[in-house]
Amino acid sequence: MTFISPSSQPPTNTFNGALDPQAAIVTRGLMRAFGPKIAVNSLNLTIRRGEFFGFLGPNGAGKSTTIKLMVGLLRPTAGHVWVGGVDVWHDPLAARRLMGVLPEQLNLYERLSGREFLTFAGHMYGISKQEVRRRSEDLLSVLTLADDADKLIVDYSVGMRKKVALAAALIHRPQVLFLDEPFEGIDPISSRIIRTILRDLTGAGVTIFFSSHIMEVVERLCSRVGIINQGSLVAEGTLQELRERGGQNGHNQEAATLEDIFLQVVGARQEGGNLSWLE
Amino acid sequence: MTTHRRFLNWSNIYWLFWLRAKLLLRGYTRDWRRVLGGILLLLIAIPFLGGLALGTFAGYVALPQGEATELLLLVLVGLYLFWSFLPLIEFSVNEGLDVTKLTLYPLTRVERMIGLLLATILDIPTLGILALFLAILLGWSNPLRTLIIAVPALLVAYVHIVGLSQLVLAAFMGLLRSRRYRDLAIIAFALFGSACSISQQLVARQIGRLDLSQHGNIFASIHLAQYLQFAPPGMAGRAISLANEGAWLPALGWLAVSAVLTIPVLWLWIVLLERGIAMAETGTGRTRRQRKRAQASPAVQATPAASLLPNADLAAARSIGGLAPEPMISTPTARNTAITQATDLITHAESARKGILPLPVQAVFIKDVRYLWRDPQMKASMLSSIFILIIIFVGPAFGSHSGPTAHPWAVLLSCLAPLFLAMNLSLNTLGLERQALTTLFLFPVRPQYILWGKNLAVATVALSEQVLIAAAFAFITNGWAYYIPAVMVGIAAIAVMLGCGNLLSVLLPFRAPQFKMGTSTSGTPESGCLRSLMGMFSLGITLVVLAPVIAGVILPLVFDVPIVLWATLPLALLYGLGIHQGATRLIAPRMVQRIPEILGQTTRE
Repeated sequence: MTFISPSSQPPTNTFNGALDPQAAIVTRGLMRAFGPKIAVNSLNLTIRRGEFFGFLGPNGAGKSTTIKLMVGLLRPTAGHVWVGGVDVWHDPLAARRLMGVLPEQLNLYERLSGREFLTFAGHMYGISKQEVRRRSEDLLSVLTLADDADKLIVDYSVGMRKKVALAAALIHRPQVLFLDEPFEGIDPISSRIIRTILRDLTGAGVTIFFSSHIMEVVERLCSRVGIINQGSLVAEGTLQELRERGGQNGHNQEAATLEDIFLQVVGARQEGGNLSWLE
Repeated sequence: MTTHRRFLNWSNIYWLFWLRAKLLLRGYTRDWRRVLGGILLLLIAIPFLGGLALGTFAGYVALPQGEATELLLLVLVGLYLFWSFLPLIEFSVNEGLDVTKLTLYPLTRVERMIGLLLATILDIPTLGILALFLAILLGWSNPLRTLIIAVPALLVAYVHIVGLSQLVLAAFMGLLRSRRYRDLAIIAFALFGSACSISQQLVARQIGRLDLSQHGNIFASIHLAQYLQFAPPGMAGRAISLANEGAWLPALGWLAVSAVLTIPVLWLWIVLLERGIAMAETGTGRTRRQRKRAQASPAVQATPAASLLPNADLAAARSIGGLAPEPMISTPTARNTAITQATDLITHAESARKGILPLPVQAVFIKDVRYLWRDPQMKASMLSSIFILIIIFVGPAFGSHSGPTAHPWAVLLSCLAPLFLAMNLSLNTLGLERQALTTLFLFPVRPQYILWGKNLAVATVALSEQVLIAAAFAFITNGWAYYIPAVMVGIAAIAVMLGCGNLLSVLLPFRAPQFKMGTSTSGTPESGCLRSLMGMFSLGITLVVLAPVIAGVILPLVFDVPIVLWATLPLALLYGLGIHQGATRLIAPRMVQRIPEILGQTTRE
């Protein structure tokens, strides 16, 4: 079962994502193939400003590849991406000025301390020294990194690395934030702090594109959800819309959780396999 | 149902060996570059190891019995000591199999031990042991019956060599895993290579001075066998020698003692290994200082206190300057205004300059200077460049009284050290960022700013080195007249090197492996060969571009008109700066376009 039929997608060759002032992220016909394998297949998405968009999919569905295509780290085989009305591949520097990115693999400068890394990141965005200092201290304090701010990142735990990477992605107050699995390896205390920050950011007009496996977090935070499976977008809408569409397909729409919808959409087998030898 | 646990299940040994062989083969079948690198490695290793094996074989055959025994024991004990020292400078948990992954499976201690020992046979460095062992077998096979003792003796010697190496590894695992030691070891490893080269020059020179007609051969004057025979592989060597003389009973005695000694070595190894792995898992391997620091720091982990944190932090979260203090913006128009203001703020800030350089250039410069000091591989590069100078000038000075250091012109050649440094750090300047290059490319910074910042860091270090080394050379040779020209030619050469480096870093980037000790490194010897080849290609291009600068120095000296240097050197300086600016301006726009390709080449694991 799919929630989106190919015919419902708009044509790609005539569309210009820069023309929609309400759109923060637009992709049209976005595709990436690795040899014969199509990792992302004709992805058409429009994410409005201030939206908290959850991007779900099973392992290997193409979530991280999509984010890399959107932020300009991976060249699409076909299609276009606009961020804040700027074509990412036409004017990459202008697009990057608008975005903050927390990649899945945190490729940090491990021989800098947390504080030095934030200062570096701030200056790379051209923020003045005083402002960088103020923002760095605020971020370090809020993300409970202040005590370890002068320790080299190479000595940080996974959770601390994630937090310092998030701080670096936030330091220039981006308009669009791309977060790839931001809550993996984060303790519940930090997780709650980050959730609050992200919620406030969307309140202030920042758009968040967020990929995760953790259904509860997506359900709690996201205003809209997209589900990708085998490179294709198979469902998109608010949680309520997804429930309604699920209901049309004969499921109990009131009781359906995001996990139910997700499993239904990706066509996962819910019954246990035959592992009788385990008994 | 209870199953009887066997002491040794050969099926498990088979599967461990299968795993090692599979991993080795898979490495080659999935990556053509590794195959190419493997061929290059063999092309280098075969002549070297073949030469060693052939040389020792000739010694066993041609030397009298006593001296051949000296050679045999030197080879076996030399391998023993070298292999025991090896883990301290190039440490991975086990070269053959990652033992930490095997702890999950119900393998007995003996199975694990034999599996790991067998796995080492498929390690690249083992080729060295096998080549020298083959030479021993061939060299001591006359009479053929010697092999009855020689074959088991070499097996025992192999177990001793590998066993001690693994024992040292297991014993020092806690220390070897610490970052500070690993950093130190990477530097030591780089310097070790340079030191070996200097020692080789000195030893070769001393051997060259030996009058063989008086000394017969050098082994005749060495009488170490009486001591070396008590080292465990030495016992195996003594057994071979005695068997060759027909003294079978003493030979068996030496072999038996050597074989028995393998048991405590292997037992101790596996016990220490298990302890080391358990320590790593439980964290008890932390240093006293780390433990003290952990106790002293405010315990965020302490549950009762931590449970109070969120509310305070949540309040703080809402007060982050410039991040989330704004009230909810309800209308789209208001949101657009807020976002536009934010963008304007950033754009305005970017155009603001503090001092001569734009902020991103300063940021990259400061980051790179910190990295040059903190990254052990980069620090090793800096130290190696000085060692290269020592090899070129100091080495020959030991052998002759009129070496090149004696002439004041040597001051001009002092620029070689900073040039090597600039070469190491600039020919693959983007690749040296390693995985963090992804982060760097996510910043909205003009590509020339990135290149300028990086070039400035390298130039600062290289020129500082140039100024100091040229002064040292001028002092030694009393060639102060050449000091200013030396610094000028250094600047010109470094500028050319950096310009070419920028061009090649964008067009021909390659992955610079991170030497991570304590894990199975992805930097295999094969990929190292391929990288060296690419480095040589880049260097070749750079040398062609550098030719006018070299000519500007060499020609006036060759034609003995040093006064001309005052004309050629400024020209060389202009040429160097021109090349740098031209190359950087040419390649900077291409860099942004090539970001995915550069990342594909440099960050792929």
